[in-house]
Amino acid sequence: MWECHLAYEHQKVNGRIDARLLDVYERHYREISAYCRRRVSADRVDDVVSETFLIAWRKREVMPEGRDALPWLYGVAHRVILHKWRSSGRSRRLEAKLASLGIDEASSAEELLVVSEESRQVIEATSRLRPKDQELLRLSYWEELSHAQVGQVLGLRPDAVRQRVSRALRALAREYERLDRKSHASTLLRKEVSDGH
Amino acid sequence: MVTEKRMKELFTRANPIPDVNEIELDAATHLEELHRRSSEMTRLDTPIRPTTSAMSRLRLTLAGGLAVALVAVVALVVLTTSDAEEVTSDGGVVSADFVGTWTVPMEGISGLFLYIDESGRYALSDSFGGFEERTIETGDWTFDGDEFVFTTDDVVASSCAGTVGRYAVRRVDEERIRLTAATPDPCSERQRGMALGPLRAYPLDPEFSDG
Repeated sequence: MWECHLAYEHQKVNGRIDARLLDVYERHYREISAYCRRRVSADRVDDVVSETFLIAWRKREVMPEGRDALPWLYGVAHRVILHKWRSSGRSRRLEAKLASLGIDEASSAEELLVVSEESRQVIEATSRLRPKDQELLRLSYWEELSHAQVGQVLGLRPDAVRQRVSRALRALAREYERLDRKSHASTLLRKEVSDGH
Repeated sequence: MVTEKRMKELFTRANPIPDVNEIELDAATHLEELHRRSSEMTRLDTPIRPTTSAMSRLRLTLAGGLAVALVAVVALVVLTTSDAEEVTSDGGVVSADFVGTWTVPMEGISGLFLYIDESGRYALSDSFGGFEERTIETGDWTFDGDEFVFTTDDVVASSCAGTVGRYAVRRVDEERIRLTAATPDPCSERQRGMALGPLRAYPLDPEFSDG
């Protein structure tokens, strides 16, 4: 009897999800999956995507419709990543380890996907910015959101987003140049050592 | 000199997934997982949401406001009449000094930070000064009798969303208080965090020692 009841409840839940979420899935699955792949290691992408849509289902009454749905989902995914990253003991230890090396977990995950040296350097420079500035840049240029949409994800006013994106780009340029100089210096040193032999 | 425009180009080019259409639409796997988890969640969620109705939330808010006001008045009276520590007869703490930032130091990382706002809001973060950027959860706090009550925001993107956690408060010493779950907290992560050790007032006194 109890098992029958549970099966019935399960059907009801499934029915609601199928009706409500399939549409959201079809519209935004690729964007949310790409968002996650740009920020977490491959083995955690599915988990974060599932959690994001699970919360979307739980919050379906407040989930915006139409073009506002995607920034809202990005906001959910953003918080899921923050939460999962920090609630895992393993990640905490990894975070501490990476922090001591001056890089963060997200950037190392991205490095696995980056093919060119130039892009690797950009990613490394990005990892040295404040977390919110990193996210502002990613949302603006990787997810290609407008200032208003970025503001919707991060809880900022559009004019504040515009200012902070500009400031973050300048900070990124400084970090990039710093790494570039370091890279050139290493290359020269290697060459001198090589010539010396 | 790298200009903003050039930096924007470089950053855009560094996008690891430049074309979302490269991603295959694999809804079946996720939906199956979603079905399983949402079904479990529905059954689990039912008994742990005692304050989800608008009326009960209103009552909680009003009761919380009264409790905070009462606590503030009691603390003021105690502070002005005695130098004694604000400890109730059974050892519980009722103090306006509870407002502020508290931390559970943890080995290897900066620690867990609890920010208590006098307006009745709280935030948990793993970074001091990072409550805007690195918040784990936010919500309302109140005192209900001797119990400190967390009511997590519904919009928090975690399994703790909308949960209510009730904690007994005990003062350990001048610097530290301990929050112990009065009843099992539906937000088990929060309960684990609070069980890591006493909360210390932040910034820490550099001369303070555990001894």
